[in-house]
Amino acid sequence: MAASIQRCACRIILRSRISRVQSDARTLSTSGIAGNKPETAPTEEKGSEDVPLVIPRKKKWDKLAVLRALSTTVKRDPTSVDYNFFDDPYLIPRTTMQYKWFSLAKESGQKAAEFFINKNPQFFQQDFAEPSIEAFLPKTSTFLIEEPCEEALQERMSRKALKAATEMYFQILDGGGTVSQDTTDDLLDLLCFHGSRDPGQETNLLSPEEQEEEPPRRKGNAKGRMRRANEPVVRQWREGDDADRLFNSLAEPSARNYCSLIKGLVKYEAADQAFRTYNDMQQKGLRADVSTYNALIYSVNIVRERYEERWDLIQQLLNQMRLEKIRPSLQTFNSTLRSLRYCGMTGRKSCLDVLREMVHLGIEPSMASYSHILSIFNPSNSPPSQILYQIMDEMEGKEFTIQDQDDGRFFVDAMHACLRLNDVELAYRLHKFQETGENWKLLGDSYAQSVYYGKFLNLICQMEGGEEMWKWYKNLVPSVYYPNVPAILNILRSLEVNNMHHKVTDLWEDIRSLQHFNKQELVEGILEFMAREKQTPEMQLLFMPVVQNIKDNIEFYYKAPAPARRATLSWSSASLSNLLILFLRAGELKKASEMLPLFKEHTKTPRAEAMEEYLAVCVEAKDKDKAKAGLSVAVHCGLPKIVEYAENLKSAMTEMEQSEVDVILNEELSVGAEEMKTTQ
Amino acid sequence: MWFQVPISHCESKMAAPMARIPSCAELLRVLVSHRAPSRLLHATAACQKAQAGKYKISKDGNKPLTYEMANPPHFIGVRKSWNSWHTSNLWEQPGAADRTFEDMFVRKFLQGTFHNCLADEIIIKRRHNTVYVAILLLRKLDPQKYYFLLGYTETLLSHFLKCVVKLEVSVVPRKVVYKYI
Repeated sequence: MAASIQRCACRIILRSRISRVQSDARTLSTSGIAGNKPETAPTEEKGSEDVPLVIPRKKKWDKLAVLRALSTTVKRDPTSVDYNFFDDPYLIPRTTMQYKWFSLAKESGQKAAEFFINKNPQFFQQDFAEPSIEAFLPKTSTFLIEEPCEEALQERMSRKALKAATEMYFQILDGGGTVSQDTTDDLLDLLCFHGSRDPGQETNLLSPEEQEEEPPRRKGNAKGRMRRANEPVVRQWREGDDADRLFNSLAEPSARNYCSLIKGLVKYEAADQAFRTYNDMQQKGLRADVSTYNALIYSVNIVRERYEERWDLIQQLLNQMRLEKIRPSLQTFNSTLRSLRYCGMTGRKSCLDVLREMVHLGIEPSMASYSHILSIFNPSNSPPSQILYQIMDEMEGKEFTIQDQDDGRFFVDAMHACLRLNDVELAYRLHKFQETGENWKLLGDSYAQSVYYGKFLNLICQMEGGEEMWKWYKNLVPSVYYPNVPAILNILRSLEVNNMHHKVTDLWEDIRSLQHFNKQELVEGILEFMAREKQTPEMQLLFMPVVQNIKDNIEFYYKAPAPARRATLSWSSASLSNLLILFLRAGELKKASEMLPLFKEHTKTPRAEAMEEYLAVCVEAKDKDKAKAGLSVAVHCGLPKIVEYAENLKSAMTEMEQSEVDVILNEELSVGAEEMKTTQ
Repeated sequence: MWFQVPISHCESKMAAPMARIPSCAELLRVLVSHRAPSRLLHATAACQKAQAGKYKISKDGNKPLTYEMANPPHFIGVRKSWNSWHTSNLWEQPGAADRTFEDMFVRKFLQGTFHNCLADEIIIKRRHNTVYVAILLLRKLDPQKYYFLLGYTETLLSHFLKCVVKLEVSVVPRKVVYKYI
């Protein structure tokens, strides 16, 4: 009896849980963008009353389920490096340059090994792995089937040897044979996708003669923007390529052939030709598919110059899709929004219509859509708009997967918008969103990541308190972000505002490991930071190692032979004066006096306050020789308040010495006057 | 160094390749026949004292030994561990010879690739379908050169052994000396 009651209770609990889950699902479906889906929940709920809960006896798990579950238990370790580096202090990259060098060096080592393997396949033929692993076998250039037949063609296609496949195709045709329609279509697809070039060929070292015929780099992109430095060079479509040849040889190209050709033309930057091909296709009465329209919409801003014309063309294409009853996909909207980015005010007006249509069709936007919306409403030449708040409200808590090639641009654009809005809370929200689930995967390449984190840290430096800023700094540097000189200067400014001068030793250590210790601007910034205000004696002593290190560094560059000195540190008036002050405040009068000859040597002028402080300390310490040396420098450099200093000094001295001071004054003044005469 | 070829050795080691060449086969037949006089004379210094895995003490007592070198082979499993980790050496497991040969190859390869840069013995571990090779390097080359060699080694060894090879690298400033003898 008791057992049955228990079971009953158990079932009730289970059922209530289920109904709650269902109602949750319902609220989600009504609140989200895809709100106009038919609601069937009430009838389902009724049905679930009768159906008992069936616990499956066996659940088939995804192959990666265990690994996924494990990976949810770990977080990013702020002290670790990227996974493709070796975790050893000597092998960890410390600067952006090293990051690049090391990853490229490793990559080129792998390439060298592959070259060796492909050059000497006889050493790697032995195949004892079961099942055989194709990736570890050398890529041979010989094929199993040599005589021209369709199997031979398929073998070449499956190995992605496109040049050989095209040759084989024409060989079969010349021999009077035929190739089936499917195989021909597949071959054309492959050729259009890879731009009539064997995939991975740019890395192939075996064919130098083919590299020579590389088309000359374009001098400038006539239409559209210039290529960014980190973008790969896109090879251009060439007339008479294999894809062209194959297409022209077809007696009756089908719609699929036309579609692949258009997509290939758009991919390899021949948009004009793509539109011509599209017109041919229309004239023949063939219908393009949705991805072809997407490609055409994507390239609208290359074929049309004026904003209205661009928008007209997009509308034409979309109307054509409607006539042909083609349902637009996410890519259609993303390409439309991307083209609207380059349409100025017209784009801003039409963007909302596009979004409304998207909601109407129940298509969930991807990151790229949001990125495009953000940049449509946030042009660089107008004050920042508030659209990001709405976007964040919409996106927060969701997990995104990559669906579009522009998905990786969202985070950089959004962080840029946060910086323009100067809203650190929004930036935190964005960062939290980035950490949600696997959204971090959409952060983009290492360049995009460094831009993202750079802007984030910059914003924190401007808006946050010192402790908070330092916490973030420790979290981000150097595991994900290597700050550049302006970024470190921002951090310095923030430390100074928040009166956190004691962090300078840590910061200097980081600067040294980031290899920025020889940047003139930064070194002067640090000295200025330490010398601007008088700190407590303990703090001044804390500065000493940094000060000494900087001095040694600069001196090293003066002692070093000529080539090492180029474009590195040198003495300036400000740095010398600041060093003088810092030594004085730390009670190192001897070291300070050693600085004095450097002013004369490098013909720099000390700052008046620095000299004043020096003389005051000398008087206090009753060190006449050092005081006289200081006075002589001051006179030599022609500081304006020189007589005042001398009077101050005299008051602290005996008569005998007072006359010596006068001598120095007169000598130096006469020398100065003589110099003036000679120059005149 | 032997004055004359001892027949038993000659037969066991060299018979196979030599027999393919007619003149060598003839020579063999002559040697095997009882008419040929054979005296086995040992003219080099007796080397019974040489032992594997033990190092000779230097005169001044300044020969540096790493921990690995300082412990002779009978301390394996007591004070130091094995250099190759896999299950083929267990009772009734196949493939012991193959694994030994592969390990020899990996060691030779690494000694050649990182010439003068290895600080200690190479440890080879097999886990699942992956070979982990732990090496200790010296700071003799620039990090980017090491990266080139490490990428190169990983790829080439993977292709040789037909399974994923991963390197576990630590870099030390100099050889870690355990004691001087």
